[in-house]
Amino acid sequence: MDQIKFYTLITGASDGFGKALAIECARRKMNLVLVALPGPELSNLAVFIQKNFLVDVKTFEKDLTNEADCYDLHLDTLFLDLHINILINNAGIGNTQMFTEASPEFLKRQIKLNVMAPTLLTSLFVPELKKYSPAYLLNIGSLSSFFYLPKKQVYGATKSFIYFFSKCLRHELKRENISVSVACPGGMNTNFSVSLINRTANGISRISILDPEKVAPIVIGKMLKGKAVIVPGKMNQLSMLLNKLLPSFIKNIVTAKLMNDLKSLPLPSVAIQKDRSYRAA
Amino acid sequence: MNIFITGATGYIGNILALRLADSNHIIHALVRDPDKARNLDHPNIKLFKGNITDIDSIKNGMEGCEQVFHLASFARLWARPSDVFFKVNVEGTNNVLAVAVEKNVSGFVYTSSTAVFGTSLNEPFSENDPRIIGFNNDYDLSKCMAEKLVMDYAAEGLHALIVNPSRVYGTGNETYSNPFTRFLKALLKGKFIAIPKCPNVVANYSYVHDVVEGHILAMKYGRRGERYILGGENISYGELFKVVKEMLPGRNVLRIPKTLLKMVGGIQLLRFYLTKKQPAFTPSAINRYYSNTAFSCRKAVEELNYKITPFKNGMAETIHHLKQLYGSN
Repeated sequence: MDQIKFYTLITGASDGFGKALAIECARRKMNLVLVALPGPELSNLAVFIQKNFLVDVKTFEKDLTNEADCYDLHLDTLFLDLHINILINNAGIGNTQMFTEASPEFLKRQIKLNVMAPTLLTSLFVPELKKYSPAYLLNIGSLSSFFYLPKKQVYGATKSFIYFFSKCLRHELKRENISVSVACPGGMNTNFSVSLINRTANGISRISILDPEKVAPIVIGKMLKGKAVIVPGKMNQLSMLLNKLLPSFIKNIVTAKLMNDLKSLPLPSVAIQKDRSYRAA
Repeated sequence: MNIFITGATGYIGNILALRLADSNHIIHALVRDPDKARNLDHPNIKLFKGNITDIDSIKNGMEGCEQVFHLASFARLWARPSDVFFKVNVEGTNNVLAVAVEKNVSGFVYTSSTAVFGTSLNEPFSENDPRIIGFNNDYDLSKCMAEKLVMDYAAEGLHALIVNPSRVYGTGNETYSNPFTRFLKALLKGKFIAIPKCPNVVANYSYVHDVVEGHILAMKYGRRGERYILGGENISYGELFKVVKEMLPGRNVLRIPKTLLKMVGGIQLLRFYLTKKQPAFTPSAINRYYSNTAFSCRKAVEELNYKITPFKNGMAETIHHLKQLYGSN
């Protein structure tokens, strides 16, 4: 009799950290269900993974800011009888922007993708995770949810939601043999625009920036070990520790300084002007 | 035909310019210093003083040209301040593209690099495969951004396409992009050279004359908005070591472990912060030399009729040529 074939579902898989997670999971011989916005990147990634690793890869082009697409995704996996035993809620929109500079449409999309989509998908997929336990649920939060940074207000808040949600849910789902983890990575050199902005950082914030292909193995490894909170990188762990130890007035000085460093972009105007061509994080 | 070339004093550009000039094309070469461009001494090559960050000099040089080969690039592993990468590779490329549209050229070939693809896994990398490593160095990032600009202009109608040469070898100008010749020359002179100690790691080596021919074929047959990898054979360091040992017996090739090279990079970086002397490489730049960078040229072979010289033949020709130039001891 055939063994049941299990799949790991990763949202936002075509670019950035999601892509690194997909490759790391394939390296660990997991079959994949990859979800991303429509575009050639997703199928190119699927072809690439299948060429390099002996795993099965299914792709679904969805816009998870649409509730309907979240439901559709769930139905599609049921229809194709894909047994999801690991769910990775990775899709998210990041930004570094003053609140008054962000459009209401952008903020709505950010909250839908960063908060609504993972909540809804978790709710939809938990029955399968239960069925195929031991199972894993990994939510991608952010280090920025621990620091009250200007220009990260809504983003940081959505990631605080992810943190809180994951920590509480972990207790509930433990008895179902589902391990819930939340990863809180710091800055990473993912796509063009993010890597460009990272280059304007200085000091600690610059050395703490990691490459996604280094972070993904750490995160997946710790998820499989059942860790509750995953903070990849020594510098990031140090920031977390200092955050706990230092009095708030010192932290305020440091954050203000960090944000000032991020403020000016000594980069070519063409890179910024042509931003229409670069996909948002 | 009149053809505009940037980077004609460089390693690939120089051979390309001379090759086209020999085929009776009139070459407009944009050069920073005409006095230093002696390697472009040819009746069919006209020198235009300027550089790609100066848009007027591009306009002046491209006047009356039907085709553009844009090879000029800031090709280093590291520089501080890093703006120079973006100024030259991104803004410069944008300038050349904008002028090409203005002058209504019929063909535009941009010389990128396989560096934009990063590293490969178990199988050779092809054009549509996704980059799986982050943008941890400015060269890769700037070349990727430049590629995006070329693609944007191509989408808007310019007949532009991209070629991605891999690690190029073969005699030519000894520029920063031509370390292979430097290494071989050092060996011929009885000095020792160092290669990474990781015998199973595979890289792709392209013969410079194949790459030059690939540029011409790309201009002729390449499709708008496409990328073509111009590479050669995929060879492990172990095999490379063997070939070099066979062809140049008794020479000293040191194999350096990664940690040692990283330490050297670290020391250089430290020295930079103390003395402002630019390092040749940094620890993070080392990784790629210890990771697979295997490429597939199938697309170029099928669509452009690109030809690959076997590595051993290319090496034999190169060593023969170098011995003629520098003698052997």
